[in-house]
Amino acid sequence: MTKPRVRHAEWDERTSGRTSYVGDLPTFGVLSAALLRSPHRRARILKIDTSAAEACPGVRAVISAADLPDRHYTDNGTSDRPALARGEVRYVGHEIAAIAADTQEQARAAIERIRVSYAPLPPFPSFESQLKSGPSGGDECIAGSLDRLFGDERCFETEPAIRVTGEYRFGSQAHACMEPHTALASWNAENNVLDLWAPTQGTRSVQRDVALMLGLDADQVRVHRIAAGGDFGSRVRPGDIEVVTAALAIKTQRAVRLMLTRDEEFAHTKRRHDFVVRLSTGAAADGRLLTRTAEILVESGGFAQASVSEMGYSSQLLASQYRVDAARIQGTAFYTHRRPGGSFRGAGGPQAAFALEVQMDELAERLSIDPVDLRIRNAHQPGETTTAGWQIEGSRLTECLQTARAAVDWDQRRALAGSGRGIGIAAGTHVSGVLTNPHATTASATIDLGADGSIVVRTGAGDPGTGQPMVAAILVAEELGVDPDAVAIVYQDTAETPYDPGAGASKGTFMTGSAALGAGRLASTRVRELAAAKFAVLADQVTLADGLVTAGHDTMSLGDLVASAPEANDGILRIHYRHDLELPLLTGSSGFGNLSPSYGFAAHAVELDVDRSTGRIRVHRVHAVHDSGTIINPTGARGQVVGGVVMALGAALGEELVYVEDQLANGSYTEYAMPRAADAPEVVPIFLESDTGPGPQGAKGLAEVALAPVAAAVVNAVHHAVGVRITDLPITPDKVLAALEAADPHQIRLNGSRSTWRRIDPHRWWIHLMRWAYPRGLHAVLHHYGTRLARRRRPADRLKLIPAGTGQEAARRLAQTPRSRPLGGGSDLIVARQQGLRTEENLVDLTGIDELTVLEGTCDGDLRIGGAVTLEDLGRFAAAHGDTAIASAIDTIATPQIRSVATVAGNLCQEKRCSYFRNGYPCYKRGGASCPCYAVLGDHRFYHAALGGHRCQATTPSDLATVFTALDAVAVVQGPTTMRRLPIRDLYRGPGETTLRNDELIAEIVVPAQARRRTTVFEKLGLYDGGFAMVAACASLEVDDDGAITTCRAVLGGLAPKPYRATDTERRLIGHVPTDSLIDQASTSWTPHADPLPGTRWKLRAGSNLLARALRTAADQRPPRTTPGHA
Amino acid sequence: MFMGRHRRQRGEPARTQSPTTTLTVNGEEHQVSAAADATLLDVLRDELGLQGTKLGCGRGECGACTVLVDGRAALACIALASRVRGHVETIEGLAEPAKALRAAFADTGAFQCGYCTPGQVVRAAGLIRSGAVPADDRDLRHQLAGNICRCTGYQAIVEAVRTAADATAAAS
Repeated sequence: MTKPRVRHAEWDERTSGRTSYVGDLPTFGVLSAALLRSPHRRARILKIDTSAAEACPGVRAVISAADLPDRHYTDNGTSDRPALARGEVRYVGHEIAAIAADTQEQARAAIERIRVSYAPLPPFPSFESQLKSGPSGGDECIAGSLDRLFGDERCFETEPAIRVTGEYRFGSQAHACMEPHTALASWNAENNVLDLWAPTQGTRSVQRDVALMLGLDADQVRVHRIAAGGDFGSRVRPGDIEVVTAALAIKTQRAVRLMLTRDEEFAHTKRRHDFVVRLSTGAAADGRLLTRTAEILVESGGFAQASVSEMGYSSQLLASQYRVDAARIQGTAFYTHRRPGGSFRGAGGPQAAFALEVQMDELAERLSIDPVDLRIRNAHQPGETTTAGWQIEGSRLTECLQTARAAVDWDQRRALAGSGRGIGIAAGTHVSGVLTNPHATTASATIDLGADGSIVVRTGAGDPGTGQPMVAAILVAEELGVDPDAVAIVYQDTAETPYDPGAGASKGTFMTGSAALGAGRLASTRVRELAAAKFAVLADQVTLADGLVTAGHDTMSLGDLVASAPEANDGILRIHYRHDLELPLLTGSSGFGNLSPSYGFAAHAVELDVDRSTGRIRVHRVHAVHDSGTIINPTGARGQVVGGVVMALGAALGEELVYVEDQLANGSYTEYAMPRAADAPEVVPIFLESDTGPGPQGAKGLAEVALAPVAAAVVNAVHHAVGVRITDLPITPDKVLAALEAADPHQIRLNGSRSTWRRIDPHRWWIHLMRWAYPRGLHAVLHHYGTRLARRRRPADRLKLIPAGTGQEAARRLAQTPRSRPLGGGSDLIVARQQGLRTEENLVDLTGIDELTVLEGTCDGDLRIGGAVTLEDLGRFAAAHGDTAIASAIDTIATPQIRSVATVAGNLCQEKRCSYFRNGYPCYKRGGASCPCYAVLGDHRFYHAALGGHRCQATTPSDLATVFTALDAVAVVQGPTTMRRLPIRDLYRGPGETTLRNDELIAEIVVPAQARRRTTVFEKLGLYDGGFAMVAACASLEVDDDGAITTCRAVLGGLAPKPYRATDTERRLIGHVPTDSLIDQASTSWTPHADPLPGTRWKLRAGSNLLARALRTAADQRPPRTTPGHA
Repeated sequence: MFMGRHRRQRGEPARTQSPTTTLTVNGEEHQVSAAADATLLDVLRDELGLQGTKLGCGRGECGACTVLVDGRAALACIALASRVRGHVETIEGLAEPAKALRAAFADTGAFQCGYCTPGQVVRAAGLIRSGAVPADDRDLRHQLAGNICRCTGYQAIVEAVRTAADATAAAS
């Protein structure tokens, strides 16, 4: 019954760049919009003065809440958010006003001229404090709460044989759609219709909500078909830009486009809510689950936005995923002052599944039952009703678990616990649509059969990658006996398609498919009737195949038959079908009842490695076994499962939105650790199909359940691999190392210096005094008052490129031109200008200068590397000439595209990667001495120093700096009149800050022959493939004939403001034959010099281990290579 | 800076005050405005109307704007147009020669929303054409790591590139 794979109908357009997204629509005559956002977390708006902005050139309209009807987004039940702030701002970035102007620059300039008077209000307690100290702040900071009892309360009276309790946190994740939010609207005054191009998977919910917010009828809003560059819940309802764009279009009577930048996309659009589940499960000794209590704590952000409904879904899932006699679920969703979250693929399911499925393994361990057996023991069987009232008509969860177990050779491999390699299994359950509102329980489809033989299916579904219209085409094609590519699809446009509820809650295939299948059956029936009349046979004697209608020896084309239909209009026979779920709606606050017409199930088996030295987890393979009924579109289904697994792995292993001062600190693809191609494992989707369910041909939803088991399976596999269970996602290396250390009483704690006050070191005293004072008010004073004295950087002017023919000429230009800076590949400088870090407008272009691209081995054996040599060229040269440490370091830097333009000098001179510095915080380095370092109290685990931190805690990000330091490289520095040689160790005076004068540039780097003859090894720990070093180590060794080390360089990157030479390590090794134990001891001997922040202490362990690994590899690689070649 | 200046009509003179520079795109020479801070992406999309190249981040982080410059994958969003000397190839120029690769994308399901797809295709087409597709899938994934995709989980992309590379190798 497995269906054939078919190509997506739009494959040619989508792969050739011909598909139009909103940003590709013509812009001639279209106004550009920009938004004014709140700098405050909570304040009353006293006055908004737009007069200066309105007078700005090019401005066509300015709107604020006063220009809009007093309405709130409907938003899954809790309706609290207006389109623009009304009376009060509630989060950093809260939209207050919007401007439409002739150009984007004019709109943005005018935004700066809006004057808003605020009266700050006391902030709500943070989510962390709500977690730590229990609910506080009163009702006004609670977005919603629930207290639900499922099952019989008396079940709690008996104490179960065993009870396991834990806290499980699934942090905030960004949708990170590849297409930044963009909307275009225009008002058609003739017909009183708003034309809206807003990419979405939920066309009708956008139509409905936009109309509601603007006081229009739904049919006054036409949502046009436009490609959507990803959704995942972020655009299933309006809420970030659509209403504002439409309001500007109505006010100006012009077309208006609002397009967010990537910064805004990360910081100011919806996200997954931060979820904490405190779960306690009681079981009988035989493994039967008895009772469950849970407390769900949700961080909503400034408004409720789906947090309350997702919490509700979590509560139902907690009482439904396995049999349990009774469940008591309480929950609270807290308002905070962060950007409100919103719908996100899974909608509270992955968070609940994470808690449940990790706890199942804990229970199994306590009960000494195999974890898969425990799950099977408690899995729902077909025909059962869950404690929360879900009617499970069909479930193959048990087979999913058995299949997953077989796929990883569970029984054999599970016995090898603690080997560093682990396998873990977890399950998931998800709805196929929800029976909570009438909009979600009906869908229609229309088929137009043409006299020309054409078949057109019309569906209101969108396609942000979900492929729903393909499902419709496949089903219709089957009914009419043609290939799917013979069916044309008209979709999404509200004026051209019938109602479809959209893809939320995994109802796309279920609802769109049901409507299409029904329409296809009607069409097929009608065609047979027509043919029966024509051929004088019974309808069931008629067959449809390949566009021909046949009965016995009679055959005619479908088109000709359609032409003869009496009801055909203009040669079109139109068949319409409306599918209604005839099931009672689940209303009321008890949460009890059947939530969905059908439930999908999955069990995933994860295979991974845990590197005990660095804490790095590498997932090799995920077997994703799904009970999703019939798979109608196999290509689409596989894609949803593989993509869902990888998205969930992101949440499990790296993705985490970090807020400091309620402002997003890591809103970029370099800082927010999403999986790249090389980070993603092989995913093996396995579908256990069945066609008995109520969906179209028995199909169920699958794109959300694909996420549900993943994070727990990872945690369970990590536990199997190394014996620690981490329940606070994402499981980053710092957490793994901390857990390993805590679990091993024999491991020596590396704490850094403990003798701060005993040593005469005023600098260190000063730093420790500052760190002591920061949480005791100093940070607050500097943040609130000191930053008012921050030096203002002038905005970057339009840049001017200054050519130069030689290095010296370039240096002269730098000397002669004020506000100038050398420009290499531009991969950092151009970005740093956008980020306001560099404001020089006169860029002296180095890339055309031949002498700066020298790349050769000299006759002395030195390696000369021109400053403007690209990383790609150097990497290739180094690999070919035995400079393997350089080659391997370059291979870990950024991406192939960056390496093809980024230069060696540019890599060495790049700005620090501190996310506070990069993302506009008025920090010490941006604003000056009166400003705080936000890293001290903020998240500083990955890219901040553990040694030698000053007022600024950043590190030098260059990996080449680490390697070149170990290779005793010398920079040849070109000045306007002279050249000087500067050892790399003297190149830096601070994190990413060089000792070069403004009129100097790095002409070349020379690696001496002697160093090239040593064996040098580079090791790096990044958060993702190509990510910056959290820690890097480079060891360079020369060994004499007896095997004793004669020369040693041990350098650590990512650890200190500058590349750090661990001279204590070097001293311990020189003169000795490097044994494992000597290397281990020597590799930690630098750590007493460290003075880590609380979050960087793990780097002492990671750095030591990485250094030991580099030293060991270098020692094993004897004898050293032969004389360096020259080219 | 990302908003469209309207596309210059044929025959309409360029604004005289802004200097022009010559850019070779998909085999054709174009005189384009050379405002020093115009990026290659601005010029391709807004001036030449080549909108297949997408803006994902504007900061050289995501790869949606990948084009080939003299055969090397480069990021149009951080390349200053006036500094681009080589031959630029965009998805519009590569779509036809890379048809087999694109068909492989369709067969494996290597795109969903499609927004990153032109960049993926350009990157992969460059690799295949230069015979630089690594034999090992893990190395291939590393070569594709500069193009972020949020939908597919990458597996189908890797399969498609492998399929097309093998077919190209077999044909030559």
